[in-house]
Amino acid sequence: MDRKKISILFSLFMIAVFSYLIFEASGFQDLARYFPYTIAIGALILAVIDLILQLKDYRKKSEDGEVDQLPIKSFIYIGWIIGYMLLIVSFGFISATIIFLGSFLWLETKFKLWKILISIGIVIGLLYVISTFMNIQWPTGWLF
Amino acid sequence: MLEAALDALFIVLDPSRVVFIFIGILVGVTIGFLPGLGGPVGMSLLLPFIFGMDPYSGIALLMGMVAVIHTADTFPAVLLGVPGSSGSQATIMDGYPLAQRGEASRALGAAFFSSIIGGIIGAVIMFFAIPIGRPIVLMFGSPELFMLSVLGLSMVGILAGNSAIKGLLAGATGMLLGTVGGAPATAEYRFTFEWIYLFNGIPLTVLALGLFALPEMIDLLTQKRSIASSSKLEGSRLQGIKDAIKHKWLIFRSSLIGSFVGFIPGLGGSVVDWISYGVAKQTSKNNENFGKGDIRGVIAPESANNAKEGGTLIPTILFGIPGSGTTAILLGGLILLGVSSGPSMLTSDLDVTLTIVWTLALASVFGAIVCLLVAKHVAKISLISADKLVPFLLIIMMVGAYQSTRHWGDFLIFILIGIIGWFMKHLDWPRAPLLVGFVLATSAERYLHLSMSRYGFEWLSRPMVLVIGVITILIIVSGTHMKRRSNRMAGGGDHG
Repeated sequence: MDRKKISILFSLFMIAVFSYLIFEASGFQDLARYFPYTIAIGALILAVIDLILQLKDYRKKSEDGEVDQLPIKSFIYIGWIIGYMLLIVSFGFISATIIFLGSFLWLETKFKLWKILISIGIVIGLLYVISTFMNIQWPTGWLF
Repeated sequence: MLEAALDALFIVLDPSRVVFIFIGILVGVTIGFLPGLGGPVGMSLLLPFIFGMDPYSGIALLMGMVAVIHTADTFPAVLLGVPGSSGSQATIMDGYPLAQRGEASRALGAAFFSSIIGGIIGAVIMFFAIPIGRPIVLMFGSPELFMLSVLGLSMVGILAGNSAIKGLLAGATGMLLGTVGGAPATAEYRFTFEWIYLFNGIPLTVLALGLFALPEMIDLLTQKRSIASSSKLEGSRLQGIKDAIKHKWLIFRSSLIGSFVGFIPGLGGSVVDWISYGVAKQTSKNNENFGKGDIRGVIAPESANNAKEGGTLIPTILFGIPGSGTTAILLGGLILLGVSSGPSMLTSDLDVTLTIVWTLALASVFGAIVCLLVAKHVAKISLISADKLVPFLLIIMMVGAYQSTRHWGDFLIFILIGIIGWFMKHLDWPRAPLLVGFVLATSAERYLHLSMSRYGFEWLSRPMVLVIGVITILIIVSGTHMKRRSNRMAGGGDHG
């Protein structure tokens, strides 16, 4: 993925967000409106200036033939994290943690089975200790 | 007053109270080490235990914890590039690059030594400022407080990252995120999409973890490397301490800034590390390595954030105005112990006030020594490869994020902000101004509202407002100029 192109798309996304916020803020009562409204307008102006500067820079760099790439592999790990969250939502925190940790250590870290079991045991033990002594709670899932 | 101070010292040094100080320190170090759990969590944990204690022992326990949180939160800031709490936001700018170079021990050594000195200076300033604190605090009305928010945000926006425009844009984005939820001036919920989770706004912990921690974890996994790019630790704690001694005037200057800014209720904790970082960068020679692993970028914020604790206690104790969530709970704790804040803290309860000063100073020293002792071993975390470390860290972060409101929204916002943070990191958008903008949004809006409703536009002509305004403009102009010059010369790094 060409970093410059993604940067321009990201700036366009931010411009869309600021525009939406201006639109949304315009419907608030006076006292609730002026702060976000003013900031969103200022941000929109800055974002447009930034986009123009980027477009100029992009043309120049394209002529030079420079292409800088974003690491696509990162999306695999973003997928792991989203997967972990979905597991928590479905099975609750403790079960999800066992599944996530086990599968990650198996597939990505390439741990042997006994190391995986020990790791899971330690983590669950520590979670139990801090939940007991620090009054920290976990979410339960939809299924359990 | 000196006699009263000596009496208070003997009260604090009673063995049973020293034990309570150490218990507080242990809780503080643990809380500071875990990203996402800040001072308010630690306070909430200890509060139930102070019932029935005498005021001095209760204060020893609470202040022991308060004094070291901003010392221990340097661990995640340096080792993971994650601000353990608001006080260590600026430390990551240079602390994390140092860890990446294998110099985590050096950064931690310098940070903890600076923390000791900062904590002591903060306590000394608190001691002398108690009688004169009132007029200083009253110098700042809502217009000045609003302008200080603008100053803090501008400083961060300009200093972080390679582009001043992107820095300011990130700050504005943070402020807009900070407006989510109930409006301070009227009964209206803003940008909530009718989702109950957002009615109270986005929790700071979730935002900070998502913005800083998640992108770092993703990149470590992608690059399949450890936090430190070298295979062994290079700098030592001793070298860090030597660095700190070498920059003693920087420590002194930053501690003074920390104590003074800490006076200001509602602002100090959020911006003090950035202001001291900014001043250090602007006033140091050969400052082109700031943001890329300059030890002075660790020393300045770490001295200031510990010195600040003394400053924040002045409005809390003397006027009952807590400057942060932590001091708000502390105020509650004092009430539980039968101590009421107010002018009586300078008369009938002077011994309690002086006990607080001593506990703060002693706990800063003890806490930093504990951190220094464990730093060498903890620094080894930076050598563990990402695929072995990150899954465990991710679990800790999920736990930390969920404790904010204990709602599913915490996870969702954590991951959403994390993905946006990842794009920001890779597209040269500095993330630090977003966090500072977010933190300052509520107070800035409240102060602006108060200024407008009380003074109309006349507040703009108040002398202090003009002075702060001129400083802000100077910082923006000189910062932009410096940035252009350094970009032209080298092209910089960003960890904000």
